[in-house]
Amino acid sequence: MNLGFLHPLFLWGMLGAALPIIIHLINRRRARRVVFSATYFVQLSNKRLARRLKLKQWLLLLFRTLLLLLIPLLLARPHVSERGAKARVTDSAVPATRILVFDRSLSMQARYDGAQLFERARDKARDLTTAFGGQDNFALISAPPSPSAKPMELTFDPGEMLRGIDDLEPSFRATDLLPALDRARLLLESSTLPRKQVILIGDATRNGYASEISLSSGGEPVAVILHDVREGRPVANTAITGFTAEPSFFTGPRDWKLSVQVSNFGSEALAGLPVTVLADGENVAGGFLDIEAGETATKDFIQRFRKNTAMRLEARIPKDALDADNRRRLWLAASENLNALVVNGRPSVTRHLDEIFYIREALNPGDMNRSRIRTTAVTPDWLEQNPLDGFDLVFLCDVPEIKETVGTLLTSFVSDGGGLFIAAGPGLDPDSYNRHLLPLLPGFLRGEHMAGTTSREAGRGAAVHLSRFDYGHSIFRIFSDETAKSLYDAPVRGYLTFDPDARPGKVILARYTDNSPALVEQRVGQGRVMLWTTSVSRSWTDLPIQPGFLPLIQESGRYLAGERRDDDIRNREAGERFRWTGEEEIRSLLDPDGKEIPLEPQGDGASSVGSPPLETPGFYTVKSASGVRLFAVNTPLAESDLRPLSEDLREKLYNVQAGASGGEADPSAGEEFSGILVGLLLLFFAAEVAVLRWMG
Amino acid sequence: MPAAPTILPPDLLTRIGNLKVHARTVVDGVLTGLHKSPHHGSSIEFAEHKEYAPGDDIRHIDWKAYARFDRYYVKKFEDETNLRCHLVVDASRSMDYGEGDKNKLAHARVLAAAFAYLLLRQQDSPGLSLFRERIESYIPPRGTLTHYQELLESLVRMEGGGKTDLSASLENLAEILRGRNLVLIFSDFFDPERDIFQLLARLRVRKNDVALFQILHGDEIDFPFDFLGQFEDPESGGSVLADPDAIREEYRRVFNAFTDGLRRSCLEHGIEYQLARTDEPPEKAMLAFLKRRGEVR
Repeated sequence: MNLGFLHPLFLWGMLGAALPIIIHLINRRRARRVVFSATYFVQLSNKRLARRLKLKQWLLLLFRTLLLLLIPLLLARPHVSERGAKARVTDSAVPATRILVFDRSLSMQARYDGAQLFERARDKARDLTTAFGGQDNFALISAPPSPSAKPMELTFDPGEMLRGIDDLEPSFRATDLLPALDRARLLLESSTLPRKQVILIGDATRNGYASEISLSSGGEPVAVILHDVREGRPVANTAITGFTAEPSFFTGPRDWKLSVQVSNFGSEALAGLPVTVLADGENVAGGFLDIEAGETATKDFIQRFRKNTAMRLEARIPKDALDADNRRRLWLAASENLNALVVNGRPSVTRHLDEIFYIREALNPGDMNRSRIRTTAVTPDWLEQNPLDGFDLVFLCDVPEIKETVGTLLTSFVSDGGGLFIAAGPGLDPDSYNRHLLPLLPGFLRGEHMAGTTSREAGRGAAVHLSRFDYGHSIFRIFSDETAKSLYDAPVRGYLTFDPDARPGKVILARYTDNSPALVEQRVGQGRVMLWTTSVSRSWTDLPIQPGFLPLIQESGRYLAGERRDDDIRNREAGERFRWTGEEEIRSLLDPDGKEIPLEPQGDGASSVGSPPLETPGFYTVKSASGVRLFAVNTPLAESDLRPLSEDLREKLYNVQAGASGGEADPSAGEEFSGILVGLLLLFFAAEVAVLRWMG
Repeated sequence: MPAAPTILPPDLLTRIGNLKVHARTVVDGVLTGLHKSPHHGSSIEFAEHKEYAPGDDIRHIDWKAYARFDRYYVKKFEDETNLRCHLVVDASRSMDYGEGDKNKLAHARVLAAAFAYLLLRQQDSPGLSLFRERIESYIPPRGTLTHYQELLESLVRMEGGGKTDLSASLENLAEILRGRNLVLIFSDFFDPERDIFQLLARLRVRKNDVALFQILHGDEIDFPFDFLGQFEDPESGGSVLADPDAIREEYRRVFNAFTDGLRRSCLEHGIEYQLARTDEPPEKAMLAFLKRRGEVR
């Protein structure tokens, strides 16, 4: 049993119990000396009365002391709670701060035993709120937070709680309890009430509730009481857990392979589950799947679409306990392959010595057109005779000389939005670049710098390396210290130097370990230029043979072609935010119902804007200067797994209170305790009066 | 060899004078009271006249008195009226309680002086004994005025002190007294553990008439203290811590039982008992005593 007090400061008043004793002692000490001739009779009287009197006086002293002990004890509002026992939610006698965390994640939309879990949870929350004590304060925290409602502060008004509960709506987002519990911790810390509870109402799925929760307030651990609205029972669910579209070049140039991945989270096998695919609302493909219990199966469809088309694709399976995950959407822009012109400055009949051997492999591995970047290899003189129509990118790979016409062509190409990647090498003539391509360069090119005295003398030990990337930049986002390690380790024996000028729009994306620029971005007009100061062949560096080279070139190519802007509108899961980092001004973002979503500037760049979390699955529309694009928002995959948290974890992580009916109010131990004290107080008071009367 | 006459100090003389005046005032008051009383004409034993009773010599009937009161009175002979009265005063420390006039010893002193004066006025012979644990001073009864001065001086010199031993003192007294005496004992009789009545009975057996004047202070009767007290016995030095509020009833009960017991014992042994409260004028007790004796005789 734990003894606690609501107002422990009143306990100091118990010192007052010493008053009768002190008064007794003081009186004894202050007794007046009286020489009295009839003292014999006083002695006689005292002797006769002594036993009775002493008994009465002791009784009086006892009762008065007890009274003075009881009064502050009562004022301190004692209460008892059982140590180690499961806390009761509606332990209404002892004032408590009760934080109600309401799980409104997607899985709460599942139907169980004829009712939606969300509505069961809402009923439970109402019941608990009405069962809370009159001196409790409470707050409702929605997990995930409601986009429209302001976070509730602690309130003593059950009406406010009930209104908050009524206003709750199911969401399509994933379970994420940690922010809610973090908020609960803040609220609990601001409370002065003696008892603190966090009551979690949810479905206790194995994906959302398996995190170790360590919640404390003021150093005291706070138990999270779980009300599992489906009482730990499994709910069978089948969901589309994947929907992809890839070009199917093997079957035809305009063929697409549509893959629908379906997972069976139930305990029984499914046979002949119909799967259909709709394109712009029309049924374009259909089939059946057999899926074992707990297994995942994929249905592939080959579908031919018109070139340069874009469409809304949607895969569907029949309705079940959770309907929202039986549809999965995909925005397919079939036209968005990138065409790259790779200019070979130093061709070689030996493939691996060819200047563009590695970069072509990086841009289009195996020449299998699986990459969205399609390459066309040419020699420098090709540029003098051909326009760059149809190309999104141009890679100049150790091109020795830039002629004036080529310079003009490339400058125009970039200004119109094209991407230019300039790779240095032993053959590059800085003077011709400075003369005819200077507007596209980050500065005046000086010439090569070898790590040794000359390229031939440059030894491995004298080489420089790439220094750590800024992983925040678009092209390095996919890297980490681990995945970029091969690039950091590769030696760079030679690189091109330049004098940076004061033009704006220049960003050094990577440096060598001697702090010289390795990769520099220069924005010109609508396009971008990257200067790769070392070679893309092995003439100056071993970088091209490192595993990290391919993704670096891929990302750089997409970035130069403006792919990042397209990436901003990639398909998402509910709860993710939309970000727009392109230079192109965005006009509006519309939700599936056509309602405009407000966008706010993001902190990482003046041209970056972002949206609140996207709540509703469906197709979102982005309107910009260059046109209208769409992206799909789907349900979070983890939410489809409705299997319950294991018993072990439930016991370990939570105080579980089963039962959907609310208000199982604990006969309040604290109340009884106070009642007993009041009873004792009256008893002692009556006893004192009785003793006084007895004493006459 | 007779003791050389001592020159009394002036303050003692003053105190004697005061006592004399006080005693006379008391006696005057008593006599006035007697004359105003419904027992008009009755006499005390040591009056000049005695109501006729069968056996008296009819030659001694005072016919003038008969003419005045229509009753027969006989004149007593000189030797019959010369009563020997012994005034016995307790001078123990317990008697020295109370302030000023309410001091028990002072009260006893006035009463004794008043009786001495009354007796001398009637040609009787008062004597005086002061006792504590035993008789400490003894003045044999005589009927002269100079004797009165001697009695007063002895009374005034009397200071309270020492313990009370009434039994031993009465035993001394019984040895001292000769012939028939009226013995008036002025004391608080705070020696309840000893049975004084056996000794008093001895005095009675010797034809002594005995009367007890119990001198009590109001505090002793009412126990009015209202503070927690460490009560100290002036004689034994013993003390007791007591809450008067708590024990007052019991005290009164015990104390009344003591005084009632004393009064009852007096009645049983044919001994006069008179309470003299120091918060009441001495003549009240004296008058009550004389009236009662007049009724009895």
